[in-house]
Amino acid sequence: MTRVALATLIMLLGSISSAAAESVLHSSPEALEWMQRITAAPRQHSYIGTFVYSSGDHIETSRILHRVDAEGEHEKREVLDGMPQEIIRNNDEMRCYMPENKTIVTEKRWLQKVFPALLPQSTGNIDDSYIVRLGGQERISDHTCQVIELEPRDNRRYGHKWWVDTRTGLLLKAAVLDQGRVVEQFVFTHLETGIEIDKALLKSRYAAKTAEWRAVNLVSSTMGNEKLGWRVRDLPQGFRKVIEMKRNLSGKPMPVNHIALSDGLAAVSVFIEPVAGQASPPTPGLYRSRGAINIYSRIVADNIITAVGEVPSATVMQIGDSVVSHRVK
Amino acid sequence: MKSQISALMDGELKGDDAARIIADLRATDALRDDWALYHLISDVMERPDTGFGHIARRVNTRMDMEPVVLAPHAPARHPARLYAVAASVAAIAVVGWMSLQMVEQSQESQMAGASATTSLAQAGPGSPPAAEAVPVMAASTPAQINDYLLAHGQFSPNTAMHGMTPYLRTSTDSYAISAR
Repeated sequence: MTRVALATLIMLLGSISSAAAESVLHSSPEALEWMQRITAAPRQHSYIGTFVYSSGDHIETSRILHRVDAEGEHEKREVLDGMPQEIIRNNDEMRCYMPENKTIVTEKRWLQKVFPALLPQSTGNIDDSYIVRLGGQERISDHTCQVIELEPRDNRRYGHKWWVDTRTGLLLKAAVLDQGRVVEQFVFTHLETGIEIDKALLKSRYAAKTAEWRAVNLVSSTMGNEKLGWRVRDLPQGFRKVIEMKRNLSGKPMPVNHIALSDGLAAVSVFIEPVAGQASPPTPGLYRSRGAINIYSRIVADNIITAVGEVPSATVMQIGDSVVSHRVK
Repeated sequence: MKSQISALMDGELKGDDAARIIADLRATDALRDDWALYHLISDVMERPDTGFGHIARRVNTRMDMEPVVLAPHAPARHPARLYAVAASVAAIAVVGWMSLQMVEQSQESQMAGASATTSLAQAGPGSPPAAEAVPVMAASTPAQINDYLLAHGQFSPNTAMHGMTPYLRTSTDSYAISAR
């Protein structure tokens, strides 16, 4: 009985402190712990599943096979609607097969691996930009899921709602929200975990046919801090520079400057390249992709600046408009 | 019994009644806990501004006395690690399908590049989403932007979750959609 009463005391105290915390708007430590589980889950569980992506009136279904073994993570994804597309991943190496265009895109994604380590250590905190809260439990694809809500602290970024499988920590549903309106969402309609996936199933069915395909290799070389000669002067609250690099994009005579920014969750890339020598440089303006991505282009000193990211249009514009050349200071 | 404890607390019980309750309190652990709890509630209600430290002290004292602590273990926060988590967590592998729509193209074409972009920038956060403006087909090839999307994919939180490149489409595909 003593314990029951004590538990009551603690609960009471807990509700008081969370009420106090609410007034300064801190994320729930428990919700943040769930985020760590979500991150770890794909490195711990093999699974086969089918998921649906939807945005506006567009719906697209994909199949995924994900195998975890001693060598790491191996994955095959197939887009099942519209134009066929297969993405094969072996740890940090990605190959994307697009048979209708006879194109294969490869990327040695070493950055993915070291990416978090590149972030500013002292200040990096999701809590600066979002309030992470624990929601209730809901059932998704016959799995019990914990709901995690990420409320943006300002209108410079979208909100997120995640449904996490309580057993494995895998993300079974996710929605990107713009002031409560769903911008895009994704949900597993079928998921099997705890199964052995045959390695042979993870090979692309196009692997043997690519000899005459066009190969695009997304090569990049990192640059030292502010070595590109360009910088973003006015970063939206919570955003930080992740890395600067030069990239070889398909069909470009010269490498393109690339500055990557992130608020810990949403990323924005800034691309800078000279207008001269291009057959058809992008027209300045605001573009909208399907889903959460917004794109903004402008011309500065004979260079075309393009900001791309899964953030509201005002944010890509703020970033794009504040790109300056060092030499112009 | 609980109402009597409450009455005792409020000084409403006298003489024998009070003595009996006090005797019960002495004899029964659970009642003493109720007694403590009621005082706690009363403290909170009467002094909401100063109550927290007081309660915390009392609870700490109680916990020191208790052999078993029922408090859930609060996870320590590691900001740096958390950032890493967030970076890779993000949403999902979204195979977002490129559909470029030029926004405010007509306005754009009437002005020189710089001034046009200024007008766009002035749209600002308070104005309605630019997406709601009449979409006009992109004038330039979206191929370049597809390349940008591809390169951006590496950093996109959408990519991180299941490790794929989102928004990966070809230019012909984009054209077909934007031409609608």
